[in-house]
Amino acid sequence: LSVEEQVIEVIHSELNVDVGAESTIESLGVDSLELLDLLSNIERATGVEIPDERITEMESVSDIIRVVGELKQ
Amino acid sequence: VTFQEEHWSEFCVDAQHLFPLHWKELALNQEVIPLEPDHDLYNAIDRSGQLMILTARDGAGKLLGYNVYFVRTHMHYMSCKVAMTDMYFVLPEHRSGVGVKLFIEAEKRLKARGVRLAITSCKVHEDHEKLFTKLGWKFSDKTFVKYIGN
Repeated sequence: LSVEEQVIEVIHSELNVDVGAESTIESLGVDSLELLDLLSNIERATGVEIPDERITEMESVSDIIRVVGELKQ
Repeated sequence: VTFQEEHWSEFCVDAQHLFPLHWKELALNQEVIPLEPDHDLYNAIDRSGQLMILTARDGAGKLLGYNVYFVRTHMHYMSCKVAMTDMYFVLPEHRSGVGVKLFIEAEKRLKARGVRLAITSCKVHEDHEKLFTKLGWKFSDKTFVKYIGN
């Protein structure tokens, strides 16, 4: 699976919502703690560790995909 | 959403509209202690460089939330610069990661100011222990409050 597919699959399975790369984090309906849990699951699924300071860049699912992609390189 | 440091004088123009919401949600003893920020004192502390106000605003400049710290050398340990939370709040309709980003961003900026110890808290009726623990904070104190006015 590509990083995009992995991230979207985790979000879909955790939150049971239809998401695309263009979805905003706000539209996912998660609070701060749920966002951290979601990112932990994305870390486990993708094998990367997301530094806290990169979380501030994340406004949309595409931002998560971009950050995870950069960390995998 | 953008995160930036502001001075009290500019911050309070917009924040005065959020303070009542913040107060209603979290303040204790509301029936006997009204909301009445001491703007002169905040301005004085800000001018002395001992206040860090971090705000979250949307693309239109609307204030979504804030995270405010008092920053000074520790009175017991002069070699240690310490940051103590004054207040933090995010509009309920924007609680989708803005809060955690305010704390992560604040930590980065406090470190840049030379802060070595940061202290924050939360209300018992709005417990953020899990969130703070995930961000690396350690649960260290219990605070007790007693209203002793007439």
